[in-house]
Amino acid sequence: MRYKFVCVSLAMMSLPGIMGLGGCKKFLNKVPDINKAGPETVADFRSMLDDNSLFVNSTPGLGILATDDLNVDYTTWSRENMVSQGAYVWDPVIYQQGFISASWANPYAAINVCNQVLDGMDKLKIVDNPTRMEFNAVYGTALFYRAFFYYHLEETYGQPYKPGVATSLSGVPLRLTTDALQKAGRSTVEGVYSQILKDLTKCLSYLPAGVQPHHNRPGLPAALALLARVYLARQDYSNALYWSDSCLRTYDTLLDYNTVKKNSRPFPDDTNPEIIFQCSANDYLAYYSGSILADSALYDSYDTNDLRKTLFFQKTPSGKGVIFKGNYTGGLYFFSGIAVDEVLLIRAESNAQIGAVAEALDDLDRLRFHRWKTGTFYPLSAPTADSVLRLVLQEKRKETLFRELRWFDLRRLNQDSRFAHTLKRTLGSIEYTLPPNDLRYTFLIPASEIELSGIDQNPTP
Amino acid sequence: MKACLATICFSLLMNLQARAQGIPRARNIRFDIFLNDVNKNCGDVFIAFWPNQMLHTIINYDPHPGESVIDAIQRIIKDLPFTITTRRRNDGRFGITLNRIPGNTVDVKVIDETGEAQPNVLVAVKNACNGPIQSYTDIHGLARLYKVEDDAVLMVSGININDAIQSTRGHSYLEVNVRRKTKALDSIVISRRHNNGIDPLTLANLPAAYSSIDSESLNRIVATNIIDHFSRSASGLLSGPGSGNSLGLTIRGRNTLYSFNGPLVVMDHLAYPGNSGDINPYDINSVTILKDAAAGSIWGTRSSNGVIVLAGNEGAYNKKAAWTFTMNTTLSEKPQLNYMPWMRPASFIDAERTLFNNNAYDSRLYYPEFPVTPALRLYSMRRDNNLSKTIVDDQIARLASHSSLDDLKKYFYRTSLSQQYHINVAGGRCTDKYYASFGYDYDPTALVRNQYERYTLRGSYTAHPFTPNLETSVTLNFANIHQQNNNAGTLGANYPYARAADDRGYPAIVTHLYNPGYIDTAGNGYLQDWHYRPLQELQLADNHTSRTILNVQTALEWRLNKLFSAGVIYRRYKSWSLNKIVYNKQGFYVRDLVNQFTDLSGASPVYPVPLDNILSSSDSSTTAENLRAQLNFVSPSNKRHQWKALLGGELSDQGQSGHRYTDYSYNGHGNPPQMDFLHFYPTLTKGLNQIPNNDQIMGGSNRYLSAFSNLYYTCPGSFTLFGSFRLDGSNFIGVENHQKWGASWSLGGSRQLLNYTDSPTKYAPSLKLRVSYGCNGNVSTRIANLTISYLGNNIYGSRQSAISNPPDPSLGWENTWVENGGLDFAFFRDSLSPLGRLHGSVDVYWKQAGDLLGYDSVPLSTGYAVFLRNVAGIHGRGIDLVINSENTRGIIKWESSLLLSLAKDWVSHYPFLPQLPASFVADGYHRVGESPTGLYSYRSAGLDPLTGNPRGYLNGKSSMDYPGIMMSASGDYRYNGSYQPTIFGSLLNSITWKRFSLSARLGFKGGYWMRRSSINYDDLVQERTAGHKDYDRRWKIPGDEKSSSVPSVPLVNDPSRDAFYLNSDILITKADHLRWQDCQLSYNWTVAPFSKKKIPFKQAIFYIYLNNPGIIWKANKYGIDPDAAGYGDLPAVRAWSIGSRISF
Repeated sequence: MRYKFVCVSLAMMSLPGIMGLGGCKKFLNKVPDINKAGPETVADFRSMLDDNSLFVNSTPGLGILATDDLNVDYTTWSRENMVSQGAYVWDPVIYQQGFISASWANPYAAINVCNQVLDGMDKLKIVDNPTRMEFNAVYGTALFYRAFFYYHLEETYGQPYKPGVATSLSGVPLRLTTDALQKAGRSTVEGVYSQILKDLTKCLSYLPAGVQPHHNRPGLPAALALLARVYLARQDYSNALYWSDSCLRTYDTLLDYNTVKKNSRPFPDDTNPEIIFQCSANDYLAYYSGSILADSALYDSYDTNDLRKTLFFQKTPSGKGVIFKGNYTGGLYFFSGIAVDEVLLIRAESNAQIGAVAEALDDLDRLRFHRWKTGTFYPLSAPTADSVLRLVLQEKRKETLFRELRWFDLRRLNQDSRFAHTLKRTLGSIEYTLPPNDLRYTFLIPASEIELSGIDQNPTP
Repeated sequence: MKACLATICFSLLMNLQARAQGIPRARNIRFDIFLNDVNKNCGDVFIAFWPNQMLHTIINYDPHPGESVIDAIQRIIKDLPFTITTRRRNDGRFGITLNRIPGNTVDVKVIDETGEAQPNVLVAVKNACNGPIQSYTDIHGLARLYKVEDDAVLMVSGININDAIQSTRGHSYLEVNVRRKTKALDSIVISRRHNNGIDPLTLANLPAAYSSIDSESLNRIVATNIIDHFSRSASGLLSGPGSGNSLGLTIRGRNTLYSFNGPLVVMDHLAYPGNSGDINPYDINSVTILKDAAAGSIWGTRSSNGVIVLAGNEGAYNKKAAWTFTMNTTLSEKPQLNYMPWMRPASFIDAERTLFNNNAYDSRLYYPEFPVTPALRLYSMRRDNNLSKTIVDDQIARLASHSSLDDLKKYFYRTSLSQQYHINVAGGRCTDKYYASFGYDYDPTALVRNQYERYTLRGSYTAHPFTPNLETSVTLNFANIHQQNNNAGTLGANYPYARAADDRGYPAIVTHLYNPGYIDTAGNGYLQDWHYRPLQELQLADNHTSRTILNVQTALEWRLNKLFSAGVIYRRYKSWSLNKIVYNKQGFYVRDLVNQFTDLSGASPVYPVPLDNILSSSDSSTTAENLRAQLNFVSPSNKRHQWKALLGGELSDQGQSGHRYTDYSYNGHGNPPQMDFLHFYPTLTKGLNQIPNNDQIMGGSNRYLSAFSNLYYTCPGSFTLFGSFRLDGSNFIGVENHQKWGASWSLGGSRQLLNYTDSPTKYAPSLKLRVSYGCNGNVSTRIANLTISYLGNNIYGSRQSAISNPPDPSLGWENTWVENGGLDFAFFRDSLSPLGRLHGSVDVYWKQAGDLLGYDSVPLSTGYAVFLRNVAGIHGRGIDLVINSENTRGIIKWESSLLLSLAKDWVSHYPFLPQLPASFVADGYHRVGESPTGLYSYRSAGLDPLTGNPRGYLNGKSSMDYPGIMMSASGDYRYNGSYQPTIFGSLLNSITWKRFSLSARLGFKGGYWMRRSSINYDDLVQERTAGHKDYDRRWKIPGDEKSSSVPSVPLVNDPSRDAFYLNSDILITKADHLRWQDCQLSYNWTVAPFSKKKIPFKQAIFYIYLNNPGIIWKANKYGIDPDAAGYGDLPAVRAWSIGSRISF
């Protein structure tokens, strides 16, 4: 009798296991919060890519701090965190501290969103045509964003592209999957660039034509312009010319600065026709304090008839120096997106690099025409391709300051002995210099990344 | 019953006058002898009976004056198997015939777990339909019942034992094993079986670690929240600040890092989905706190942090309706506002002047609209030469003469008088039982114009309408709560000399969001008055919340046969909550909005926001449904080896929904005008802004699917074994079906080591060993699939979302493994103290919480800064000691009860290794080997002798590079210990003299640390707070660093200097303290059951209760109450209650 009870009891004990395994799966699959959802529709994926954090404060921005675009005094500098302090004086030791650098983290966070979107959309089944169009636009956007952020990361933390040897240089880690636990080692510079080109080429067949009304959404011109920018960095000037030309053929509206009101934010995003794609750089120094001064030599280089001198700059309350206010973001953030002026200058430079002097000067004059006070414009002339190139680069310096582009150009142009340039700055009583092609042109990867993923750190001098 | 009635009617008809005066008092006399005596002594009555039927019936008889013979006989045979018939005899005498009723006679012996016989225990047949069948056991523990049907169920209950139930199953002799109850306090045993017996394995049988608190102990305390009624009366249970959960309670330390760490609250067998504060404490019969792995046996889901089981009141079969009325009034003293560590006005103004002269306020003064305090305005006007020095000095002196605390005391705080009323009725007939109650609580709170009101109803009805084998019940709980929150307890001014009223008592202006100078001139007269007057705001505020809760539960229990029974419970809980804030058009909020949005660019001003009331309301509702089915098995009780088992499943679905909305131009009518919430308007001081509109829809659901089984074996008098297994599935966890499920299980056993009957010495010791081991689960709100949260619109107006939950295919349940060893002991047992004059228990436990959600180290290139995964672990161990002793007996009875707990936890796994000191000190990350409730601080190197700056250590050297110390790996910081007590306990002493009883409880918390607040100069410069009185002890001149640790006024304001100092180890203080928790004086007048006095009630208790008399000893010398250590915290006030509980 006792054994019978034992048997009955044991049988009862084991039943829950059977019940559990065969349990109602549907009942437990309900999403616990209605404001959260597994993204299931194209609209969901669109909303992920419309997140402000992907296009505001999202590109590294470290390059802006390290260029000769700006100056700060010792007091301002000393109040900043170690990453921006170090970037400003090109001091690589500072990065050894375990600071979570937004310059590194934000672009990778954006890339993760792109990976999640691409992965999720690959699993979607599309039926009708209107959805297919929106699907393509979103899918293309994710590809574009991924290429865009990899480009900015590579130009900050990867070694500069050197034609011919790029396969032996260290680029940034490439993460193309949704699995956070998968290890990713450092890719080669060539590897990163070919992934960028692959994504960009692919997105050409997805993105909608024309500049999009919401500037954070890339259209075809944005992808074409980014291709031009990428080929320029690869010093492949014929391709840079081809893609910048393709871009300008689809869209080339310039803003006549004579129509711009002179106020504290002269270039609102929604009324600036030059913007092809809107994005802003991660902010470091105290932007709001008005204590970052634009480089005075640069400021002095503008002609008094050049409207940029008054639209881009404003005197500080104390009267010492000028502050930059010409952000194409329309606000305080530094613009790091793509605008027509940059593409025009890429075409001009590419033309100059391959010796097409007249075409280069045409583009330069077209830009300058829109920048100078009405009636004061005069066309430029230059005898040689080299002098045209110098004019183009000087114009680019004046046109695209505080946009990260200066840093990218320094990395590229320093390889050309004609344009090699030593950066110098003084802080307190100490003078700092950054010679051309210095190892410090590649920022150190945050220490926590090195520690946790086991990848190699960039070399220091 | 019918027979009785008929007999009584008939006897009345006969107009019998036969008096029973002649019958003498009888003690333990055989019934037949007694009847023969009656026949002899009462001439006009003759009783006919069959003597052989009477042989073993022993009776007692007490004469009642004026009672007739027939009534006396009726009274005697009430519990005996006889019926009577009456008739007039031929000889003129009145004839009574006694006949025996057929049926079994059952002898029952009641013994406790040690085999000791239990006298004075009521043994009754459950649901006996022909009148009650019951008897009390004699000194040998024996009781005899007559007229017992073959398959009757016996209920055994007594004062010192737990109720027990056993089936007779046709036997004529039964032994019933019961478990003895320890008294109140931290008793070992749950007081009574409740509800419809869905848990046949009553806790009394489990070798588990638990405490239970009976109604007597619960009722000792006066509070509106049930938690307060027991939070101090159980070992291992810790209440107070730092618990980190909404209940304010932890059981045996921490078992989780980032999931809910509070115990699960179970009411009437099912997890309670609402707020435990909504339950009326007087509707609760008993509370059981389960602490070890056995907690998961029945309530597995989320049982990892312990389970609190609330058993609601119910009726009782065969009991006349009993009414109980409870009322009390509590006088709470005004909070001690002087405890606020604010600066004295004179000091504050002094600090303002010093900082002003250091140009610290220049950036604020630069903006004309930024608020500046009145003193600063005067100083800046003086600097700009707009005021003469004498005027400034005079005005400053006037400002310094007034303290905001006085105005807060006078206009914002009050002494409050709260009231509680509760009335209930409980009773039952042979086929049903009922309980109904109504409660009303009113608490005006210490803040003027705030109040709390609660109405509660509880009804419970249980019946077996068709057959005794089928018991059905329905329980209903209703609560309606109204709250007014019109007073936030502040003047809205961040300086300590603000005035609420001017000299004539009219509302005064304080500097609130804007500079009064700016307000006076802005808008060229087109704006509304823009001043803030705290007294006026207090009068205009209208913020009220009402909540209604309806909780209906039905249950069915069906006895299938002699071995099996089945039960089903269905519960539906619904709560509706509505919060309405009406911003009066005369109030600051509306005037401010109107002014901000006023468009002055055109010829005439345009007001996009109308000057009218604004309603901001939010409603939410919770619906919870539970369905539980259970199959029970109980082996026949006549066997020496007893088996019990249960098998059950539960379905639980708890859904929330709610939304918020804003209505402009609200005046109580419908259809307010549509506002333009989309456009960005220019505002006067805040740039482009949208008109605020907090419309939002919220909702979600938690679902659980559970299956559980328990197995229990006992060999009476020697040992008990117990095992449980349970599976819970949740919609939060896991991608794959099998990952949604978490298993919990437990194994346990107990053995009687020493029985006092074995060693008949005067110590009469009894020892019982308990062991249990098992695993419980806890679930977080994370889910394994990628989820996104919708974040509203981006700057282009399109919908945006962000990843809220990265995909984690490996996500699973958190687990806690607990080993518990316990020893129940008792000494000096005798008949007066059946539990022993000294008794208690000691439990030792070890626990390993694993698979806890913790921050895993993932490289930033994954896109995540940190990744919460099942990677962390906590280990812990502790001791719970309970000692109850009866120190004196006799006229004055002195009893003591000591609870002492040690609970030590440390993080055992935590892969994420932040390198920055600030990650631990400020951001709450954990380190292996240190407490999950660890307090970290920057190591201090004292004050700099030259500047009075605080110093820390960087690279091993003293340093004033604060960002370097906090944000670099070479900064020095230390672990100070836990901020939750690791040793705690209480001592309750009670003295009883006649009907008076006086008791007082002391509470101790030790082995923990707190962070003191101190002066934050950045807060002063930003005008965020009213400063800190430590300012008066600051470094002023070189040399002060020897006596002071408070930094000097900084020459240049540096927030990182304050961040370093406020988190440095100089401000870490031992928090240990001893508190006199409460005191009660009561007068208990219980009327004896057969008292002849004409008293209209059965029991009346009158009491005076004093809550929180104060701290007796504290380790810190700063006058800080460790339970109110934060900046701005006020210590709990003393509260005096007077009350009564009367049962009719």
